[in-house]
Amino acid sequence: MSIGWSKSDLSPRRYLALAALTAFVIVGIPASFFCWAYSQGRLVAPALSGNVCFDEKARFLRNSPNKQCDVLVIGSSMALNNIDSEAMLKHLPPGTRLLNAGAYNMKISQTRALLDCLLAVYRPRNVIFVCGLMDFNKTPGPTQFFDASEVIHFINGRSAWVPILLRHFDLQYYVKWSFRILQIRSSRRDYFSVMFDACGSIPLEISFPKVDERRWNLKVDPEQLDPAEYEELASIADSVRSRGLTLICIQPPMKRGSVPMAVSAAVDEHWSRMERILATRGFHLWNHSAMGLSDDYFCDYSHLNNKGAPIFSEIVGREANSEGPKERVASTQTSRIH
Amino acid sequence: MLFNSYEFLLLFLPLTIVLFIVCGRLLGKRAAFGSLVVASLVFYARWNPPYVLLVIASILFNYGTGCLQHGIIQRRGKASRAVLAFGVATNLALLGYFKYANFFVDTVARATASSWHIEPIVLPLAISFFTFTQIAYLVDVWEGMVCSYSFLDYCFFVLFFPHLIAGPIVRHHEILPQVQESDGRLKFDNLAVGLTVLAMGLFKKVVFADGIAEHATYVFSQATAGVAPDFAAAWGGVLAYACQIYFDFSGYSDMAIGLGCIFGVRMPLNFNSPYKARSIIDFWRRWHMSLSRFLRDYLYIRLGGNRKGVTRRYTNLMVTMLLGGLWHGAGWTFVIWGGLHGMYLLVNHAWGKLTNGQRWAGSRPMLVVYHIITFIAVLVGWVFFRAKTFSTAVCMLKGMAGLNGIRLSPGFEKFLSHWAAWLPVRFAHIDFEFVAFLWLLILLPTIFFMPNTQEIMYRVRPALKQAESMAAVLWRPSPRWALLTGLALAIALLKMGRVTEFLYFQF
Repeated sequence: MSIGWSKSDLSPRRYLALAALTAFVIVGIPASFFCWAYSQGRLVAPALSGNVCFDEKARFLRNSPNKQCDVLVIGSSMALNNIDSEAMLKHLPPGTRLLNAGAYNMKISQTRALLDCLLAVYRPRNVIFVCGLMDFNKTPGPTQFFDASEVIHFINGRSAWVPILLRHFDLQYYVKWSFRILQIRSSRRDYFSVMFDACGSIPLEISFPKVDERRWNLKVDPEQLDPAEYEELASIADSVRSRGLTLICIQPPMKRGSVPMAVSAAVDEHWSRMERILATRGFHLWNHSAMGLSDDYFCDYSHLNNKGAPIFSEIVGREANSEGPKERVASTQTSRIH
Repeated sequence: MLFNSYEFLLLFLPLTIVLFIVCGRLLGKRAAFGSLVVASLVFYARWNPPYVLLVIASILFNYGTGCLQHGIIQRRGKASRAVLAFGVATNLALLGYFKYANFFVDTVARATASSWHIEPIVLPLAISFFTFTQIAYLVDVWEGMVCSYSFLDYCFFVLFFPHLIAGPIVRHHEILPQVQESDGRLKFDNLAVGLTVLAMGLFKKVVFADGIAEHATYVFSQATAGVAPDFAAAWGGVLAYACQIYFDFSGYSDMAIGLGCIFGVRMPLNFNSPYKARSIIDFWRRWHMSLSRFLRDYLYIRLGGNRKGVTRRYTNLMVTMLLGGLWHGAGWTFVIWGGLHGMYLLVNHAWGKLTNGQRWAGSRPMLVVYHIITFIAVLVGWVFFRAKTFSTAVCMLKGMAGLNGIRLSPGFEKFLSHWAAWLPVRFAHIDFEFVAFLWLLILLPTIFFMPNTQEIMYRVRPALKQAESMAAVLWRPSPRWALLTGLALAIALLKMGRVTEFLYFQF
């Protein structure tokens, strides 16, 4: 193959050199800057899933030296924000290693996929799944997902960060998060905080009246429940059971009035359905939805704040430490009020 | 491995070029092309290593069958025909098992309401492409159109990574004479032209196709979930998909040509501004040209083509298009898409016969009408091509027909308030983002009014059998074009964060 390259043209070598130089100036310099920013911890975590909290959690797990745990907490923001690691550890045997792998905006299907990664890396003895009603809700549009083997390698530290950074490089994404990430990494006064404690929990420092009004007044809507998510719950229970581990499935407390009377029967049916799924696999639902905590302990309709999370976590710690479940399925009417 | 990944562009491609140069300089031409065969196997293995054995087995079988035909058996005799039938049947059986077994079993089970079931079979990457390439080779051997090739040449012809995964479906007489004439040395002018075409293709895929993709996906996934799109959203979604598949396939085809060019091999043209077509016949001469050619030469003509009367001709056309649809995917929506295009072709041929010799039929206004009708027909076809189920496609078509209601953004209300009562529209939020409309405003004029890559690059003809170019913008090796190439490459590299597959990889 020969190309009609005349002598008056720019020589092929010069043409290539000029094109390469242009590309390098445009890509190379910003790329070097981003690599530097990442190494300094000033860049949002590589977008393994596109869910910032999940990605930041993956980075947190990668940077944590300990790659083993005894008690693994999983779930969405229900697990992330409702658990206070320190309070929970008080009621677990000394030396117990706790890891909270919860991240906000996680659907149950995503938690199931993440659980498989975490079980492969951390080999815990007990798994605590903190899951609220809203985790079962339908979401519009396709669910964001991640490559499980990539996440395992990333958490394990087996993959170098430069290729990961390159693979998930998205200029718009990094620029968009450049300032916000520094803010939410250093404050727990933001609902989207990613300021993890040593075990990966984030009890939020948000109390009434300095709350987001929309979140505060939200109500549970059982019509939004997605039947497919129950299958994912069953899949989580099967996965834990097949490994001979214990699963503790917990419904955390809910703010009074967040379950309208009109839907309480449907909500009870939801918990009964969860209980049936878990019971057939030898597990139980520990329902603390009606714990009776006052509004001071909440930062919105379903998340506890840094006053409520320790109280709930102590109970979870005690229950995890005990052998059997203390409380079977409760309903909105019959739960014990503390 | 995908062409639009950092792994390919920053690691695989540079290493392959270095290996090609070193082997060419130190060991000669055979070693240089041998290195490309090895690199192609690595390229394929990166997807799923065990499946390399399948490709190798397929190559050994077809090369062996070809040799058998060549040397031992009398050309076009009974024995030769039997060997050809056996070779083609084995290839089709392999394709049928991997690609259609699940589809067949599911269809039968559904039709008979039985619980017949087989485990899902993983579809080996590119099986449709390397199978078709080799079937064409066997038929050509049988017809005496093939001189004897070495095993290495044959491996290169089937495996060369630019066309391996998603075409073009190459013919031996296009590729192998170039290998035989080559000196196995990398030339800087080839490298410069190849990289320029590669950069253009990468830009189309990463910036244009991936940029509009999310908007198409949103509308179609909403329709799949049962949310009926209104008029604007349905048209927006279908136009977005039309742009996505256009730039996706165009980008891939450019990249294949550019990569071939780097190593001194011109690939056949596979994509030539199909939306500029003024008839469906013309569309199929411009869209996936190598597949159209394969279907014409090895299916339509073998079925009798147009030699056995009008009825037989139309039947052959329909069968060819139905099978072409099925080739794209094991699903009824693909069959419907093929059938729809078959019907379009019948109408097109019938119209051609009816208006033959009439001057008004070729007038300028009529050409514009033909162009619009062709594009709309293609869009309707894309609805079935993209929709996962028949009901989703129907839902989209209803939306396009306005049967799901017509909405206008509330911003228009103040301008149209006097006529609001008379207009069959509602003023409400449209399920199609404003930014997507902006994308369409950029992409559609680019498709219809800009020259394509091959026209721009006409001066150096990076592809085989290029038509004359009347393009106002022609590439030349100037500093300005070098800067533009670097810029396109850089923007594409920066946008390449999320690696997305080429749509034709799944076929």
